[in-house]
Amino acid sequence: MVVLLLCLLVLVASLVAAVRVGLGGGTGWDEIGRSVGARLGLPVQPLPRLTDSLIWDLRVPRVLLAALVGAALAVCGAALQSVTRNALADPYLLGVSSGASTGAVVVVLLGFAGSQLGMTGGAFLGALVSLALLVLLLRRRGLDSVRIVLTGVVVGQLFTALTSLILMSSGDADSTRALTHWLLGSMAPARWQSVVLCGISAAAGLLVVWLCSSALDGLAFGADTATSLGIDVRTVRTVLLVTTSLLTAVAVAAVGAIGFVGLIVPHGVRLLVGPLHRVLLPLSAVVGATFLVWTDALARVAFAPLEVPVGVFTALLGVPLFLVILRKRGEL
Amino acid sequence: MRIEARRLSWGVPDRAIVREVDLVVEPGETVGLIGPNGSGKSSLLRCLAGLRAPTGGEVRYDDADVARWSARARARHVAFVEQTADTDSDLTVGEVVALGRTAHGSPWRGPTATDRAIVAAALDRLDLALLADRPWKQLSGGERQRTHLARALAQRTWGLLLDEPTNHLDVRHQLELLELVATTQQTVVVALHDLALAARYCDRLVLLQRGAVVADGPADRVLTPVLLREVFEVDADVGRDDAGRLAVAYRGPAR
Repeated sequence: MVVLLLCLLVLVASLVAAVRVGLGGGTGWDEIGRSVGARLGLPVQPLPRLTDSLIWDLRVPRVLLAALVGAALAVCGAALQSVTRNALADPYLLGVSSGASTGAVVVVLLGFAGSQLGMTGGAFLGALVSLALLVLLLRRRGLDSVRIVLTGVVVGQLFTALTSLILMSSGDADSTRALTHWLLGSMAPARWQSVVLCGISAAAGLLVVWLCSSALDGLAFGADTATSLGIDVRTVRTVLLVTTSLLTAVAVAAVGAIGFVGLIVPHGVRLLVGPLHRVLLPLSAVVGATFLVWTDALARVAFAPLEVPVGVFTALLGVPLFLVILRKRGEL
Repeated sequence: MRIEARRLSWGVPDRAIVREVDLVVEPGETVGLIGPNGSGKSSLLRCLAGLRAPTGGEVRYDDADVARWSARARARHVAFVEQTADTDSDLTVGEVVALGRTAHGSPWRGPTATDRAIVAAALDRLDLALLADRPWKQLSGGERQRTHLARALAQRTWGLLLDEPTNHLDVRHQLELLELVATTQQTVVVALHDLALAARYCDRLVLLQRGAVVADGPADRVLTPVLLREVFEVDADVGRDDAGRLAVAYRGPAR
Protein backbone atom coordinates (compact mmCIF):
# COMPACT_ATOMS: atom_id res chain seq x y z
CA MET A 1 0.00 0.00 0.00
CA VAL A 2 2.81 2.38 0.92
CA VAL A 3 4.68 1.39 -2.24
CA LEU A 4 1.57 2.02 -4.33
CA LEU A 5 1.02 5.49 -2.83
CA LEU A 6 4.66 6.33 -3.30
CA CYS A 7 4.56 5.27 -6.94
CA LEU A 8 1.36 7.28 -7.46
CA LEU A 9 3.13 10.38 -6.15
CA VAL A 10 6.03 9.76 -8.51
CA LEU A 11 3.54 9.38 -11.36
CA VAL A 12 1.82 12.69 -10.65
CA ALA A 13 5.17 14.48 -10.38
CA SER A 14 6.27 12.81 -13.63
CA LEU A 15 3.13 13.93 -15.43
CA VAL A 16 3.79 17.55 -14.54
CA ALA A 17 7.50 17.37 -15.23
CA ALA A 18 6.99 15.63 -18.57
CA VAL A 19 4.73 18.45 -19.79
CA ARG A 20 7.68 20.78 -19.20
CA VAL A 21 10.29 18.57 -20.91
CA GLY A 22 11.24 19.91 -24.33
CA LEU A 23 8.90 22.89 -24.30
CA GLY A 24 11.82 25.31 -24.67
CA GLY A 25 11.59 28.74 -26.22
CA GLY A 26 11.11 30.56 -22.94
CA THR A 27 8.13 28.47 -21.99
CA GLY A 28 8.37 27.09 -18.46
CA TRP A 29 6.52 26.23 -15.27
CA ASP A 30 4.84 29.61 -15.19
CA GLU A 31 3.23 29.14 -18.60
CA ILE A 32 2.12 25.61 -17.81
CA GLY A 33 0.56 26.84 -14.59
CA ARG A 34 -1.26 29.61 -16.39
CA SER A 35 -2.53 27.36 -19.19
CA VAL A 36 -3.87 24.68 -16.84
CA GLY A 37 -4.98 27.25 -14.28
CA ALA A 38 -7.09 29.10 -16.83
CA ARG A 39 -8.88 25.82 -17.66
CA LEU A 40 -9.59 25.23 -13.98
CA GLY A 41 -11.12 28.70 -13.73
CA LEU A 42 -8.33 30.20 -11.63
CA PRO A 43 -7.72 33.95 -11.88
CA VAL A 44 -4.51 33.81 -13.92
CA GLN A 45 -3.26 35.98 -16.72
CA PRO A 46 -4.17 34.22 -19.97
CA LEU A 47 -1.36 33.05 -22.28
CA PRO A 48 -0.84 34.01 -25.90
CA ARG A 49 -3.04 31.79 -27.99
CA LEU A 50 -0.23 29.83 -29.67
CA THR A 51 1.64 28.96 -26.46
CA ASP A 52 -1.58 28.05 -24.73
CA SER A 53 -2.57 25.77 -27.57
CA LEU A 54 0.86 24.15 -27.59
CA ILE A 55 0.54 23.28 -23.92
CA TRP A 56 -3.15 22.53 -23.57
CA ASP A 57 -3.99 21.00 -26.95
CA LEU A 58 -0.77 19.14 -27.67
CA ARG A 59 1.42 18.62 -24.66
CA VAL A 60 -1.04 17.92 -21.85
CA PRO A 61 -3.11 15.33 -23.78
CA ARG A 62 0.10 13.72 -25.01
CA VAL A 63 1.45 13.20 -21.52
CA LEU A 64 -1.90 11.98 -20.18
CA LEU A 65 -2.29 9.59 -23.11
CA ALA A 66 1.22 8.23 -22.57
CA ALA A 67 0.26 7.52 -18.95
CA LEU A 68 -3.00 5.78 -19.91
CA VAL A 69 -1.44 3.70 -22.66
CA GLY A 70 1.50 2.75 -20.44
CA ALA A 71 -0.87 1.62 -17.69
CA ALA A 72 -3.06 -0.36 -20.09
CA LEU A 73 -0.17 -2.14 -21.82
CA ALA A 74 1.58 -3.01 -18.55
CA VAL A 75 -1.60 -4.54 -17.13
CA CYS A 76 -2.24 -6.43 -20.38
CA GLY A 77 1.26 -7.89 -20.15
CA ALA A 78 0.82 -8.98 -16.54
CA ALA A 79 -2.57 -10.58 -17.28
CA LEU A 80 -1.40 -12.34 -20.46
CA GLN A 81 1.68 -13.70 -18.69
CA SER A 82 -0.57 -15.40 -16.16
CA VAL A 83 -3.26 -16.58 -18.58
CA THR A 84 -0.73 -18.14 -20.98
CA ARG A 85 1.58 -19.22 -18.11
CA ASN A 86 4.35 -17.63 -20.09
CA ALA A 87 6.78 -15.05 -18.75
CA LEU A 88 7.34 -13.68 -22.26
CA ALA A 89 3.71 -12.85 -23.08
CA ASP A 90 3.04 -9.25 -24.10
CA PRO A 91 0.39 -7.83 -26.45
CA TYR A 92 3.12 -6.83 -28.91
CA LEU A 93 5.05 -10.12 -28.87
CA LEU A 94 1.86 -12.15 -29.23
CA GLY A 95 0.94 -10.20 -32.37
CA VAL A 96 -2.20 -8.68 -30.83
CA SER A 97 -0.89 -5.13 -31.30
CA SER A 98 -0.14 -5.81 -34.97
CA GLY A 99 -3.61 -7.22 -35.49
CA ALA A 100 -5.05 -4.09 -33.88
CA SER A 101 -2.92 -1.92 -36.18
CA THR A 102 -4.26 -3.69 -39.24
CA GLY A 103 -7.82 -3.29 -38.02
CA ALA A 104 -7.37 0.41 -37.38
CA VAL A 105 -5.69 0.97 -40.75
CA VAL A 106 -8.53 -0.78 -42.57
CA VAL A 107 -11.00 1.56 -40.89
CA VAL A 108 -8.87 4.57 -41.89
CA LEU A 109 -8.85 3.33 -45.45
CA LEU A 110 -12.62 2.98 -45.43
CA GLY A 111 -12.75 6.69 -44.78
CA PHE A 112 -13.30 7.00 -41.04
CA ALA A 113 -9.87 8.48 -40.32
CA GLY A 114 -11.26 11.17 -38.07
CA SER A 115 -13.31 8.89 -35.87
CA GLN A 116 -11.39 7.68 -32.83
CA LEU A 117 -14.28 5.40 -31.93
CA GLY A 118 -14.34 3.88 -35.43
CA MET A 119 -10.60 3.27 -35.39
CA THR A 120 -10.80 1.74 -31.92
CA GLY A 121 -13.59 -0.55 -33.08
CA GLY A 122 -11.52 -1.60 -36.07
CA ALA A 123 -8.47 -2.13 -33.89
CA PHE A 124 -10.53 -4.24 -31.46
CA LEU A 125 -11.74 -6.47 -34.29
CA GLY A 126 -8.18 -6.74 -35.61
CA ALA A 127 -6.89 -7.65 -32.15
CA LEU A 128 -9.57 -10.33 -31.72
CA VAL A 129 -8.84 -11.79 -35.17
CA SER A 130 -5.10 -12.02 -34.49
CA LEU A 131 -5.74 -13.54 -31.08
CA ALA A 132 -8.16 -16.08 -32.56
CA LEU A 133 -5.52 -16.99 -35.13
CA LEU A 134 -2.94 -17.40 -32.37
CA VAL A 135 -5.25 -19.63 -30.32
CA LEU A 136 -6.06 -21.67 -33.43
CA LEU A 137 -2.38 -22.18 -34.24
CA LEU A 138 -1.58 -23.18 -30.66
CA ARG A 139 -4.53 -25.54 -30.30
CA ARG A 140 -3.66 -29.04 -29.10
CA ARG A 141 -0.08 -28.00 -28.46
CA GLY A 142 1.08 -27.16 -24.98
CA LEU A 143 1.68 -23.57 -24.06
CA ASP A 144 5.42 -24.05 -24.26
CA SER A 145 6.84 -20.56 -23.89
CA VAL A 146 9.14 -20.49 -26.90
CA ARG A 147 6.45 -21.93 -29.17
CA ILE A 148 3.86 -19.42 -28.03
CA VAL A 149 6.18 -16.47 -28.61
CA LEU A 150 7.35 -17.81 -31.97
CA THR A 151 3.76 -18.28 -33.07
CA GLY A 152 2.92 -14.81 -31.78
CA VAL A 153 5.82 -13.25 -33.67
CA VAL A 154 4.75 -15.01 -36.86
CA VAL A 155 1.15 -13.82 -36.44
CA GLY A 156 2.50 -10.33 -35.73
CA GLN A 157 4.62 -10.40 -38.88
CA LEU A 158 1.63 -11.40 -40.94
CA PHE A 159 -0.43 -8.47 -39.68
CA THR A 160 2.48 -6.05 -39.98
CA ALA A 161 2.84 -7.07 -43.62
CA LEU A 162 -0.91 -6.59 -44.14
CA THR A 163 -0.75 -3.14 -42.56
CA SER A 164 2.16 -2.13 -44.82
CA LEU A 165 0.42 -3.49 -47.87
CA ILE A 166 -2.83 -1.67 -47.12
CA LEU A 167 -1.12 1.65 -46.39
CA MET A 168 1.22 1.50 -49.38
CA SER A 169 -1.49 0.47 -51.81
CA SER A 170 -3.67 3.35 -50.70
CA GLY A 171 -1.13 5.52 -52.51
CA ASP A 172 -1.61 8.39 -50.10
CA ALA A 173 1.20 10.93 -49.86
CA ASP A 174 1.19 10.59 -46.07
CA SER A 175 1.23 6.84 -46.15
CA THR A 176 4.90 6.38 -45.28
CA ARG A 177 4.58 8.62 -42.27
CA ALA A 178 1.42 6.83 -41.25
CA LEU A 179 3.21 3.52 -41.59
CA THR A 180 5.89 4.50 -39.08
CA HIS A 181 3.18 5.59 -36.74
CA TRP A 182 1.18 2.36 -36.82
CA LEU A 183 4.14 0.01 -36.79
CA LEU A 184 6.39 1.72 -34.26
CA GLY A 185 3.96 3.65 -32.16
CA SER A 186 4.19 7.37 -31.64
CA MET A 187 2.55 9.73 -29.19
CA ALA A 188 2.63 12.65 -31.65
CA PRO A 189 -1.01 12.43 -32.76
CA ALA A 190 -2.34 12.51 -29.17
CA ARG A 191 -5.45 14.67 -28.78
CA TRP A 192 -8.05 15.12 -26.08
CA GLN A 193 -10.53 12.91 -27.92
CA SER A 194 -8.28 9.87 -27.58
CA VAL A 195 -7.43 10.77 -23.97
CA VAL A 196 -11.10 10.60 -23.03
CA LEU A 197 -11.75 7.35 -24.88
CA CYS A 198 -8.57 5.77 -23.55
CA GLY A 199 -9.30 6.97 -20.03
CA ILE A 200 -12.75 5.42 -19.91
CA SER A 201 -11.75 2.10 -21.43
CA ALA A 202 -8.53 1.83 -19.45
CA ALA A 203 -10.41 2.41 -16.20
CA ALA A 204 -13.04 -0.19 -17.07
CA GLY A 205 -10.52 -2.71 -18.41
CA LEU A 206 -8.18 -2.39 -15.47
CA LEU A 207 -11.07 -2.91 -13.06
CA VAL A 208 -12.17 -6.09 -14.86
CA VAL A 209 -8.64 -7.49 -14.87
CA TRP A 210 -8.12 -6.54 -11.23
CA LEU A 211 -11.32 -8.33 -10.23
CA CYS A 212 -9.80 -11.48 -11.73
CA SER A 213 -6.74 -11.16 -9.47
CA SER A 214 -7.24 -14.30 -7.43
CA ALA A 215 -8.02 -16.32 -10.57
CA LEU A 216 -4.81 -15.04 -12.14
CA ASP A 217 -2.91 -16.20 -9.05
CA GLY A 218 -4.61 -19.58 -9.12
CA LEU A 219 -3.70 -20.19 -12.77
CA ALA A 220 -0.04 -20.44 -11.75
CA PHE A 221 -0.26 -24.23 -11.39
CA GLY A 222 -2.18 -24.89 -14.58
CA ALA A 223 -5.79 -25.41 -15.55
CA ASP A 224 -6.54 -28.54 -13.47
CA THR A 225 -5.28 -27.19 -10.18
CA ALA A 226 -6.95 -23.84 -10.93
CA THR A 227 -10.29 -25.56 -11.57
CA SER A 228 -9.95 -27.58 -8.38
CA LEU A 229 -9.41 -24.28 -6.54
CA GLY A 230 -12.82 -23.13 -7.76
CA ILE A 231 -11.78 -21.06 -10.77
CA ASP A 232 -13.91 -21.30 -13.90
CA VAL A 233 -10.83 -21.42 -16.12
CA ARG A 234 -12.56 -21.20 -19.48
CA THR A 235 -14.62 -18.15 -18.51
CA VAL A 236 -11.69 -16.38 -16.88
CA ARG A 237 -9.50 -16.98 -19.93
CA THR A 238 -12.16 -15.69 -22.31
CA VAL A 239 -12.91 -12.60 -20.21
CA LEU A 240 -9.22 -11.77 -19.86
CA LEU A 241 -8.32 -12.36 -23.50
CA VAL A 242 -11.20 -10.17 -24.66
CA THR A 243 -10.42 -7.46 -22.09
CA THR A 244 -6.72 -7.37 -22.92
CA SER A 245 -7.58 -7.26 -26.63
CA LEU A 246 -9.84 -4.30 -25.98
CA LEU A 247 -7.22 -2.48 -23.90
CA THR A 248 -4.55 -3.15 -26.53
CA ALA A 249 -6.91 -2.01 -29.29
CA VAL A 250 -7.72 1.28 -27.57
CA ALA A 251 -4.02 1.95 -27.07
CA VAL A 252 -3.07 0.99 -30.62
CA ALA A 253 -5.89 3.02 -32.19
CA ALA A 254 -4.63 6.07 -30.32
CA VAL A 255 -0.86 5.76 -30.64
CA GLY A 256 0.03 2.70 -32.77
CA ALA A 257 1.78 -0.48 -31.73
CA ILE A 258 4.18 0.22 -28.87
CA GLY A 259 6.03 -2.92 -27.85
CA PHE A 260 7.59 -4.38 -24.74
CA VAL A 261 5.89 -2.17 -22.11
CA GLY A 262 3.87 -5.23 -21.03
CA LEU A 263 7.07 -7.22 -20.74
CA ILE A 264 9.33 -4.73 -18.97
CA VAL A 265 6.97 -3.30 -16.39
CA PRO A 266 5.37 -6.40 -14.79
CA HIS A 267 8.76 -8.10 -14.52
CA GLY A 268 10.22 -5.12 -12.72
CA VAL A 269 7.21 -4.77 -10.43
CA ARG A 270 7.26 -8.50 -9.52
CA LEU A 271 10.81 -8.08 -8.25
CA LEU A 272 9.49 -5.32 -6.02
CA VAL A 273 6.24 -6.74 -4.60
CA GLY A 274 6.04 -10.40 -5.62
CA PRO A 275 3.67 -12.20 -7.97
CA LEU A 276 0.25 -11.75 -6.29
CA HIS A 277 -1.98 -9.95 -8.78
CA ARG A 278 -4.09 -8.02 -6.28
CA VAL A 279 -1.00 -5.86 -5.69
CA LEU A 280 0.93 -6.53 -8.89
CA LEU A 281 -1.79 -5.20 -11.23
CA PRO A 282 -2.42 -1.75 -9.74
CA LEU A 283 1.28 -1.18 -9.22
CA SER A 284 2.06 -2.29 -12.78
CA ALA A 285 -0.52 0.22 -14.00
CA VAL A 286 1.09 3.08 -12.10
CA VAL A 287 4.66 2.10 -12.97
CA GLY A 288 3.69 1.47 -16.61
CA ALA A 289 2.15 4.94 -16.79
CA THR A 290 5.26 6.57 -15.35
CA PHE A 291 7.51 4.49 -17.59
CA LEU A 292 5.81 5.47 -20.82
CA VAL A 293 5.53 9.14 -19.83
CA TRP A 294 9.30 9.28 -19.39
CA THR A 295 10.14 7.14 -22.42
CA ASP A 296 7.98 9.44 -24.54
CA ALA A 297 9.64 12.54 -23.07
CA LEU A 298 12.98 10.97 -23.96
CA ALA A 299 11.79 10.17 -27.47
CA ARG A 300 10.76 13.80 -27.89
CA VAL A 301 14.03 15.42 -26.83
CA ALA A 302 16.78 12.84 -27.40
CA PHE A 303 17.31 13.78 -31.03
CA ALA A 304 15.48 17.13 -31.08
CA PRO A 305 14.25 18.64 -33.27
CA LEU A 306 13.75 15.21 -34.80
CA GLU A 307 11.16 13.18 -32.91
CA VAL A 308 11.81 9.45 -32.56
CA PRO A 309 8.73 7.17 -32.32
CA VAL A 310 8.47 6.09 -28.68
CA GLY A 311 8.19 2.43 -29.75
CA VAL A 312 11.83 2.56 -30.82
CA PHE A 313 12.90 3.35 -27.28
CA THR A 314 10.64 0.78 -25.60
CA ALA A 315 12.07 -1.84 -27.98
CA LEU A 316 15.63 -0.78 -27.20
CA LEU A 317 14.88 -1.33 -23.51
CA GLY A 318 12.69 -4.40 -24.00
CA VAL A 319 14.83 -6.57 -26.24
CA PRO A 320 17.72 -7.01 -23.78
CA LEU A 321 15.24 -7.86 -21.02
CA PHE A 322 13.57 -10.40 -23.30
CA LEU A 323 16.95 -12.08 -23.80
CA VAL A 324 17.66 -12.05 -20.06
CA ILE A 325 14.35 -13.78 -19.33
CA LEU A 326 14.94 -16.40 -22.03
CA ARG A 327 18.42 -17.05 -20.72
CA LYS A 328 17.23 -17.32 -17.12
CA ARG A 329 14.75 -19.97 -18.20
CA GLY A 330 17.52 -21.85 -19.98
CA GLU A 331 15.91 -21.56 -23.38
CA LEU A 332 18.67 -19.66 -25.13
CA MET B 1 -19.53 -36.23 2.81
CA ARG B 2 -20.11 -39.31 0.73
CA ILE B 3 -18.37 -39.53 -2.66
CA GLU B 4 -19.85 -41.85 -5.21
CA ALA B 5 -19.16 -42.90 -8.80
CA ARG B 6 -21.96 -44.65 -10.69
CA ARG B 7 -21.00 -46.57 -13.81
CA LEU B 8 -18.48 -43.80 -14.40
CA SER B 9 -16.65 -43.81 -17.73
CA TRP B 10 -14.23 -41.35 -19.25
CA GLY B 11 -11.86 -41.45 -22.18
CA VAL B 12 -10.36 -39.76 -25.17
CA PRO B 13 -12.09 -40.25 -28.56
CA ASP B 14 -10.76 -43.69 -29.44
CA ARG B 15 -9.66 -44.95 -26.04
CA ALA B 16 -11.62 -45.59 -22.85
CA ILE B 17 -9.47 -44.78 -19.82
CA VAL B 18 -12.01 -45.15 -17.02
CA ARG B 19 -14.51 -47.97 -17.59
CA GLU B 20 -17.85 -48.17 -15.79
CA VAL B 21 -16.44 -47.64 -12.32
CA ASP B 22 -18.80 -48.09 -9.37
CA LEU B 23 -17.33 -46.74 -6.18
CA VAL B 24 -18.76 -45.55 -2.89
CA VAL B 25 -16.64 -43.75 -0.31
CA GLU B 26 -18.50 -43.26 2.97
CA PRO B 27 -18.09 -40.06 5.04
CA GLY B 28 -14.74 -40.03 6.85
CA GLU B 29 -13.49 -43.13 5.09
CA THR B 30 -9.99 -43.32 3.56
CA VAL B 31 -9.89 -45.31 0.36
CA GLY B 32 -6.62 -46.23 -1.35
CA LEU B 33 -6.57 -46.39 -5.13
CA ILE B 34 -3.97 -48.84 -6.38
CA GLY B 35 -3.06 -50.22 -9.77
CA PRO B 36 -0.15 -50.29 -12.20
CA ASN B 37 0.90 -47.34 -14.36
CA GLY B 38 -1.80 -46.41 -16.84
CA SER B 39 -4.56 -48.18 -14.95
CA GLY B 40 -6.59 -44.98 -14.78
CA LYS B 41 -6.00 -43.87 -11.17
CA SER B 42 -5.25 -40.24 -12.07
CA SER B 43 -8.11 -40.04 -14.56
CA LEU B 44 -10.55 -41.51 -12.05
CA LEU B 45 -9.45 -38.96 -9.44
CA ARG B 46 -9.87 -36.14 -11.96
CA CYS B 47 -13.40 -37.33 -12.73
CA LEU B 48 -14.20 -37.56 -9.02
CA ALA B 49 -12.91 -33.98 -8.60
CA GLY B 50 -15.14 -32.83 -11.46
CA LEU B 51 -12.18 -31.80 -13.62
CA ARG B 52 -13.24 -34.14 -16.42
CA ALA B 53 -16.82 -34.46 -17.59
CA PRO B 54 -17.72 -38.17 -17.58
CA THR B 55 -18.49 -39.71 -20.97
CA GLY B 56 -20.81 -42.06 -19.16
CA GLY B 57 -22.30 -42.41 -15.70
CA GLU B 58 -22.03 -39.79 -12.98
CA VAL B 59 -20.21 -38.54 -9.90
CA ARG B 60 -22.26 -37.74 -6.83
CA TYR B 61 -21.38 -35.89 -3.64
CA ASP B 62 -23.94 -36.76 -0.95
CA ASP B 63 -26.44 -37.83 -3.60
CA ALA B 64 -26.11 -34.67 -5.73
CA ASP B 65 -24.91 -35.05 -9.31
CA VAL B 66 -21.95 -32.66 -9.56
CA ALA B 67 -21.91 -32.40 -13.36
CA ARG B 68 -23.78 -29.12 -13.32
CA TRP B 69 -22.04 -27.64 -10.29
CA SER B 70 -19.85 -24.60 -10.72
CA ALA B 71 -16.10 -25.00 -10.18
CA ARG B 72 -16.49 -22.83 -7.10
CA ALA B 73 -19.19 -25.02 -5.57
CA ARG B 74 -17.12 -28.16 -6.18
CA ALA B 75 -14.02 -26.52 -4.72
CA ARG B 76 -15.93 -25.92 -1.50
CA HIS B 77 -16.69 -29.64 -1.25
CA VAL B 78 -13.54 -31.40 -2.42
CA ALA B 79 -9.89 -30.47 -2.73
CA PHE B 80 -7.59 -32.13 -5.24
CA VAL B 81 -3.81 -32.51 -5.30
CA GLU B 82 -2.25 -33.32 -8.66
CA GLN B 83 0.75 -35.58 -8.97
CA THR B 84 3.04 -32.86 -10.25
CA ALA B 85 1.76 -29.32 -10.32
CA ASP B 86 4.64 -26.97 -11.01
CA THR B 87 4.90 -23.28 -11.74
CA ASP B 88 7.34 -20.71 -13.08
CA SER B 89 5.84 -18.14 -10.79
CA ASP B 90 7.74 -16.87 -7.77
CA LEU B 91 4.97 -17.58 -5.27
CA THR B 92 6.08 -18.34 -1.71
CA VAL B 93 4.93 -21.38 0.27
CA GLY B 94 2.50 -19.21 2.24
CA GLU B 95 1.06 -17.70 -0.95
CA VAL B 96 0.54 -21.12 -2.53
CA VAL B 97 -1.26 -22.39 0.57
CA ALA B 98 -3.41 -19.23 0.52
CA LEU B 99 -4.59 -20.21 -2.98
CA GLY B 100 -6.67 -22.79 -1.14
CA ARG B 101 -8.90 -19.94 0.02
CA THR B 102 -9.78 -18.89 -3.56
CA ALA B 103 -13.24 -20.45 -3.54
CA HIS B 104 -14.07 -18.75 -0.24
CA GLY B 105 -13.03 -15.23 -1.24
CA SER B 106 -14.70 -12.36 -3.06
CA PRO B 107 -13.11 -10.50 -5.97
CA TRP B 108 -13.55 -7.20 -4.13
CA ARG B 109 -11.55 -7.90 -1.02
CA GLY B 110 -8.31 -9.59 -0.12
CA PRO B 111 -7.76 -12.36 2.42
CA THR B 112 -9.63 -11.97 5.71
CA ALA B 113 -8.34 -12.69 9.23
CA THR B 114 -10.14 -16.06 9.07
CA ASP B 115 -8.34 -16.89 5.82
CA ARG B 116 -5.00 -16.04 7.37
CA ALA B 117 -5.70 -18.17 10.44
CA ILE B 118 -6.73 -21.15 8.30
CA VAL B 119 -3.60 -20.81 6.15
CA ALA B 120 -1.39 -20.60 9.24
CA ALA B 121 -3.03 -23.73 10.67
CA ALA B 122 -2.52 -25.64 7.41
CA LEU B 123 1.14 -24.61 7.30
CA ASP B 124 1.57 -25.80 10.90
CA ARG B 125 -0.12 -29.08 10.21
CA LEU B 126 2.40 -29.92 7.46
CA ASP B 127 5.41 -28.62 9.29
CA LEU B 128 5.85 -25.74 6.86
CA ALA B 129 5.49 -22.74 9.15
CA LEU B 130 9.22 -21.99 8.98
CA LEU B 131 9.21 -22.21 5.19
CA ALA B 132 6.22 -19.88 4.72
CA ASP B 133 8.26 -17.14 3.03
CA ARG B 134 10.40 -19.41 0.89
CA PRO B 135 9.91 -19.06 -2.88
CA TRP B 136 8.57 -22.07 -4.78
CA LYS B 137 11.73 -22.42 -6.90
CA GLN B 138 13.87 -23.06 -3.83
CA LEU B 139 11.74 -25.95 -2.56
CA SER B 140 12.63 -29.62 -2.80
CA GLY B 141 10.19 -32.02 -4.42
CA GLY B 142 8.96 -33.17 -1.04
CA GLU B 143 8.45 -29.63 0.23
CA ARG B 144 6.42 -28.83 -2.87
CA GLN B 145 4.25 -31.89 -2.32
CA ARG B 146 3.62 -30.91 1.29
CA THR B 147 2.85 -27.34 0.23
CA HIS B 148 0.18 -28.62 -2.16
CA LEU B 149 -1.34 -30.77 0.56
CA ALA B 150 -1.38 -27.81 2.97
CA ARG B 151 -3.10 -25.80 0.21
CA ALA B 152 -5.71 -28.55 -0.14
CA LEU B 153 -6.28 -28.56 3.64
CA ALA B 154 -6.67 -24.77 3.60
CA GLN B 155 -9.56 -25.31 1.22
CA ARG B 156 -11.46 -26.73 4.26
CA THR B 157 -13.44 -29.28 2.26
CA TRP B 158 -15.40 -32.40 3.13
CA GLY B 159 -13.48 -34.49 0.63
CA LEU B 160 -9.83 -34.84 -0.28
CA LEU B 161 -8.60 -36.40 -3.55
CA LEU B 162 -4.86 -37.05 -3.66
CA ASP B 163 -2.84 -38.33 -6.59
CA GLU B 164 0.26 -40.08 -5.25
CA PRO B 165 0.92 -37.51 -2.53
CA THR B 166 3.89 -39.47 -1.15
CA ASN B 167 5.97 -39.06 -4.32
CA HIS B 168 9.27 -37.31 -3.61
CA LEU B 169 8.78 -37.59 0.15
CA ASP B 170 11.36 -39.15 2.43
CA VAL B 171 10.17 -42.05 4.59
CA ARG B 172 9.41 -39.95 7.64
CA HIS B 173 7.33 -37.45 5.72
CA GLN B 174 5.56 -40.27 3.86
CA LEU B 175 4.47 -41.78 7.16
CA GLU B 176 3.50 -38.42 8.64
CA LEU B 177 1.48 -37.49 5.59
CA LEU B 178 -0.37 -40.80 5.48
CA GLU B 179 -1.03 -40.64 9.21
CA LEU B 180 -2.57 -37.22 8.68
CA VAL B 181 -4.63 -38.54 5.79
CA ALA B 182 -5.80 -41.57 7.78
CA THR B 183 -6.81 -39.60 10.86
CA THR B 184 -8.55 -36.67 9.20
CA GLN B 185 -12.32 -36.50 9.41
CA GLN B 186 -12.43 -35.81 5.67
CA THR B 187 -13.52 -38.37 3.10
CA VAL B 188 -10.30 -39.31 1.31
CA VAL B 189 -9.50 -41.06 -1.95
CA VAL B 190 -5.76 -41.42 -2.36
CA ALA B 191 -3.82 -43.01 -5.21
CA LEU B 192 -0.73 -44.80 -3.91
CA HIS B 193 2.09 -46.82 -5.40
CA ASP B 194 3.43 -48.36 -2.22
CA LEU B 195 1.12 -51.30 -1.52
CA ALA B 196 2.27 -51.91 2.05
CA LEU B 197 1.71 -48.26 3.00
CA ALA B 198 -1.66 -48.32 1.23
CA ALA B 199 -2.64 -51.41 3.21
CA ARG B 200 -1.53 -49.90 6.46
CA TYR B 201 -3.15 -46.47 6.26
CA CYS B 202 -6.30 -46.96 4.19
CA ASP B 203 -9.61 -48.32 5.46
CA ARG B 204 -10.18 -49.96 2.13
CA LEU B 205 -8.34 -50.55 -1.13
CA VAL B 206 -9.67 -50.31 -4.67
CA LEU B 207 -7.62 -52.08 -7.31
CA LEU B 208 -7.77 -50.77 -10.87
CA GLN B 209 -6.75 -52.53 -14.04
CA ARG B 210 -7.13 -50.91 -17.48
CA GLY B 211 -9.60 -48.40 -16.08
CA ALA B 212 -11.91 -50.91 -14.40
CA VAL B 213 -12.25 -51.93 -10.75
CA VAL B 214 -11.06 -55.52 -10.29
CA ALA B 215 -11.14 -55.64 -6.49
CA ASP B 216 -12.62 -53.48 -3.75
CA GLY B 217 -12.39 -54.27 -0.06
CA PRO B 218 -10.14 -54.60 2.99
CA ALA B 219 -6.42 -54.79 2.22
CA ASP B 220 -6.04 -58.50 2.94
CA ARG B 221 -8.71 -59.34 0.40
CA VAL B 222 -7.32 -57.06 -2.33
CA LEU B 223 -3.61 -57.71 -1.91
CA THR B 224 -3.58 -61.43 -2.65
CA PRO B 225 -0.73 -63.15 -4.51
CA VAL B 226 -3.17 -64.12 -7.24
CA LEU B 227 -4.40 -60.56 -7.85
CA LEU B 228 -0.90 -59.11 -7.56
CA ARG B 229 0.28 -61.53 -10.21
CA GLU B 230 -2.64 -60.87 -12.48
CA VAL B 231 -2.76 -57.07 -12.20
CA PHE B 232 0.78 -55.98 -11.34
CA GLU B 233 2.52 -58.93 -13.03
CA VAL B 234 4.70 -59.62 -10.02
CA ASP B 235 5.28 -62.69 -7.89
CA ALA B 236 4.85 -61.69 -4.26
CA ASP B 237 4.34 -63.17 -0.82
CA VAL B 238 1.74 -61.51 1.34
CA GLY B 239 1.91 -62.11 5.06
CA ARG B 240 1.70 -60.40 8.41
CA ASP B 241 4.58 -59.10 10.49
CA ASP B 242 4.89 -59.55 14.27
CA ALA B 243 2.64 -56.57 14.92
CA GLY B 244 -0.02 -58.01 12.63
CA ARG B 245 0.54 -55.51 9.82
CA LEU B 246 0.14 -56.68 6.26
CA ALA B 247 3.52 -57.12 4.55
CA VAL B 248 4.18 -57.56 0.85
CA ALA B 249 7.47 -59.15 -0.18
CA TYR B 250 8.20 -59.20 -3.89
CA ARG B 251 9.96 -62.22 -5.38
CA GLY B 252 10.32 -60.62 -8.80
CA PRO B 253 8.48 -59.89 -12.01
CA ALA B 254 6.02 -62.62 -12.85
CA ARG B 255 7.41 -65.26 -15.18
